[in-house]
Amino acid sequence: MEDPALRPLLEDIVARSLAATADDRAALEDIVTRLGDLIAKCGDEDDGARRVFVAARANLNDVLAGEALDASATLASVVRSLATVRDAGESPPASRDAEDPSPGGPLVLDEFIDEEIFGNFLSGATLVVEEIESDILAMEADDPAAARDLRGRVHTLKGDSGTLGLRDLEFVCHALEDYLDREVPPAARIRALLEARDWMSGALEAHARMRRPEEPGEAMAARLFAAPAESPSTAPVPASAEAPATPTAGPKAPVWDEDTLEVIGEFLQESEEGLARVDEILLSLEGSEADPESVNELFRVFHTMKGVASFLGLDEITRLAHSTETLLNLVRTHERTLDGALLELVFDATEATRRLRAAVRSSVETGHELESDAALPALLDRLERCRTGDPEGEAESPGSESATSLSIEPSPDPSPGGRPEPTHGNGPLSGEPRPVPSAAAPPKPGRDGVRIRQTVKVDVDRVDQLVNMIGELVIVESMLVNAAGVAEIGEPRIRDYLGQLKKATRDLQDVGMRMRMVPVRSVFQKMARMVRDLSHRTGKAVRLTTAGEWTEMDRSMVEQIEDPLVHMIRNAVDHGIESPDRRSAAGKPPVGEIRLSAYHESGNIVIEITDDGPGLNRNAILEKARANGLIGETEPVSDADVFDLIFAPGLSTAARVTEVSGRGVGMDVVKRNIKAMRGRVNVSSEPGHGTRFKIVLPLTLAIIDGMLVACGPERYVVPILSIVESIQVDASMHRTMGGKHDMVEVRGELLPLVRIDRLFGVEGAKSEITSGLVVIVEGVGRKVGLLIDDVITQQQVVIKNVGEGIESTPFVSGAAILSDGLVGLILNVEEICSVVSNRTAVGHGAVREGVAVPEALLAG
Amino acid sequence: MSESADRPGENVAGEADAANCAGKYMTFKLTNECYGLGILDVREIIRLMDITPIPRVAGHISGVINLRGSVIPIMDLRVRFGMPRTEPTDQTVIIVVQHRGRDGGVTMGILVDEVMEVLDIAAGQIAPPPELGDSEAFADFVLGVGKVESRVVFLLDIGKVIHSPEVLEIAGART
Repeated sequence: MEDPALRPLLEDIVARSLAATADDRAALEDIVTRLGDLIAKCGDEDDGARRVFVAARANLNDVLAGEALDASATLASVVRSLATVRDAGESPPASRDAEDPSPGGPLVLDEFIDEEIFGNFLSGATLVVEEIESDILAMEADDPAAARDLRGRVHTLKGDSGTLGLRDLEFVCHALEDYLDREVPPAARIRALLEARDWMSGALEAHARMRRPEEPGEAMAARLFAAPAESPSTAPVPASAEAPATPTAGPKAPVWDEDTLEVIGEFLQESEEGLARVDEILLSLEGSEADPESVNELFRVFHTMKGVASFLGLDEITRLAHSTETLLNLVRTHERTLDGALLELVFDATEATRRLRAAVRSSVETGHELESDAALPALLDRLERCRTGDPEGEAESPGSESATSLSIEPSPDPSPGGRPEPTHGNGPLSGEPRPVPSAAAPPKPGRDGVRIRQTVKVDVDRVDQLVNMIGELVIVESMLVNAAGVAEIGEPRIRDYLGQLKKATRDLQDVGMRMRMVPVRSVFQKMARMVRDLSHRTGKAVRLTTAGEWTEMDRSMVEQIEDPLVHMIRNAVDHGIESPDRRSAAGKPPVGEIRLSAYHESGNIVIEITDDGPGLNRNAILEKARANGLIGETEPVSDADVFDLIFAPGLSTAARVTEVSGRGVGMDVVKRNIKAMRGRVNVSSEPGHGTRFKIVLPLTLAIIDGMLVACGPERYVVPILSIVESIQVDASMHRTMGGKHDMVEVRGELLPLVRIDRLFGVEGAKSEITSGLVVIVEGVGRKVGLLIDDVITQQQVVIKNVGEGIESTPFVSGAAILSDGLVGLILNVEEICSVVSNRTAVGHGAVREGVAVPEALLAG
Repeated sequence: MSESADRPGENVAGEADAANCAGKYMTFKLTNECYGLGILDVREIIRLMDITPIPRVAGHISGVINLRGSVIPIMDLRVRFGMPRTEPTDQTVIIVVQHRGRDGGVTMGILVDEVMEVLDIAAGQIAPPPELGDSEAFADFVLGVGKVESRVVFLLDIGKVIHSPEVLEIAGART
């Protein structure tokens, strides 16, 4: 838009479109005509501004034809794109970007954006992009709601990135919105959408480093549209709740799924906080000069609210927030001052937003339809007049207005015997009567009410701190209860108090632990995406089904489990699932299935990955293992032993593994990662029917139940979860193998025996097997007996690092502070079992997982 | 004054620069020799307490203690420097050092025979570490030699004392 003469025209159009509502046909038609004028005056020059105008006109025409998926959202996006051109001044978006054509260059933010806002945006946007991904995948699965959700999210993201001046992101979101209107073959569409999604997440990462994305937004947009088959939108409307025949803003049936309800809950909570903040600021502003930071904050509250509300399809809140935001923007740009009538107006808007919020809450909780707020048009009208500087609007007495608002609160109940229909003081600008809510069809049978969960956002550090302190409290509590003097107190009252203390501590510990729990869902979603990509790349048809994605586990574990899962699922697709031909030949459905599920099992979290491929090739693995010297030539081995070998590092180079039958790229790493989380992984496989990996993880990383055992002067903690039983061994149960390996026979089962004193070089322990105690533990699928002197007690311990200064502590997984204040070491049962059973199964000198078999074990 | 100059014992460039070493040192005794640790690396000095031994780790790691809820390892500096182990005496203490290295901080207790005073050692009083020939790994730990009045103080590079090649070697063999 080179010609400055066009600016007033554009200003006018922007003003009009801001005032218009999606159901105001006259106004929209007027805008379309004006846009036509503007386009004609732009001439043939195909600059960025002209393109925006053309697109805007097309979108508005869609709205008029009732073809837009979401009329209000479309209108809002039109307004925004026009406003962008206006704000860009002489340089429309395209050339503005051309000014700074440095992809990957530093990102410069507007002054009013502080780190916190930007940080909030980034974390929010990252989540939104994840959701976008699952929408895309749902679209691929023909979920009719997915396209709508996707559009909503893209739209929100566009708005937010626009506000923050992230032009690349805004441009791509905008292009995506356009793209969604086009008719494109489904497969190509999904591919293009996923590419755009990947670009977005790359862009966000770049932004987090304060860089611009490597590939400019325009390039991505161009890629999007480079895809074949363009036919300008006759927007095929997928089965949608909105009937095009009624373009009026009738009450929208709240069809919210669980996820959305959660978002609504958050929204209600956050908007309440935001509104409270607005009140606070407004009150402080009364009678004083508005400082820019306060105005910015007001603006942000309404802006955020608008974004989320528009995503949730809460039209009224969106419109109100939008109008208020626009007004506040004028204050921000010093075109207005925030005083008198304007201040009053913002107060009213805040009040009205509260009302609308309350209506949303009650709608969700009672299951009734969401009612339109009858006073809203009047308020919007006032806001608009104030914005355009219409003296009549400003002269409007706020008194009469608020009286009106009061008279209609709460929103009318359309059920029989409902309140009389409210009247509103001022007619809408267009003069067209707005539909009154209760004139709408009687409410559909309401769903059952749903309780909206309320949440508070807390800094993760604070939660961690709390959990750590609870850990300390648990220790002190157990120190106190076990302290020599206290244990002897017979006084019932004190015993009672101690009991209560114990219970309160346990409960607190429980609550603290749960605070850090998050669903595994986010990781599962990533896997779904990965399987899809892999399936396309490898040409295999694979479907990922998930179960239990709401299972919760410790936040840090959710992060840590991702890598192992990526490895295992990639393996499952690469090697686990056969090609469609081979599947058909084997009489299986052509589409392979990988099942990812999470559930709780006896105090642990279990994550299972099951595929329906050909299963592991036992013989090939065995052959390889024998060739590598992992297993003696003639030794008989169980299936479990063989399958466990896929985790051995010796079997994990790609070339060998492909020969062997697949599986194993990085499996040793997988196992190491899982062990680091104090978890274990078992594999089972049935030839022809598939393979199952079962990962068992502790609920939390911080606290375990332990059995404190004595060995000479030393004490060790054995995790209760790995203990099978403790037994007193008599001479008849003691066997030796090869004259030196101790074994213990328990109910016919021969188990290797580890003398802890010899393993750890402890002096002064009971050396006679019959005088000590044998704790049978199970790790890596095998049982081993540990010879100790005695069991001292059973207690919960907080796991601590043995110390950063020590690089490696064999057979010890951590330390714990015991009730007497001294440090006890926690035995690494998995490691002990794996080394011992290696000795017995594989023979002398075998090295597994790089741990040299200690003399104490060999010479046991 | 920049921060690195503030921190004696922090030898970033890897070569002993006497000017960089100048500063306050906590001095202590091992047998009859005198050593110094940069005061900024020293967190506190605690009485000897019960140490829980850790099996199968390098010999100079005596074990771990509970320092107000944190588990920290204890290094026997005598063993570290190849001196004979002795029974602890009344004078034996643990100097808790906190060293900020490249990969985060390490807190460790250092078992020494006896603590002495804090000395302010000027650049002019510091000589480069002696050349002892390649067999003496010990020289690696020394940033410089301080001469205060008639005393000789070996100024230690705590980073090297903690992250010694010996420990790394053992760890490497196990992983």
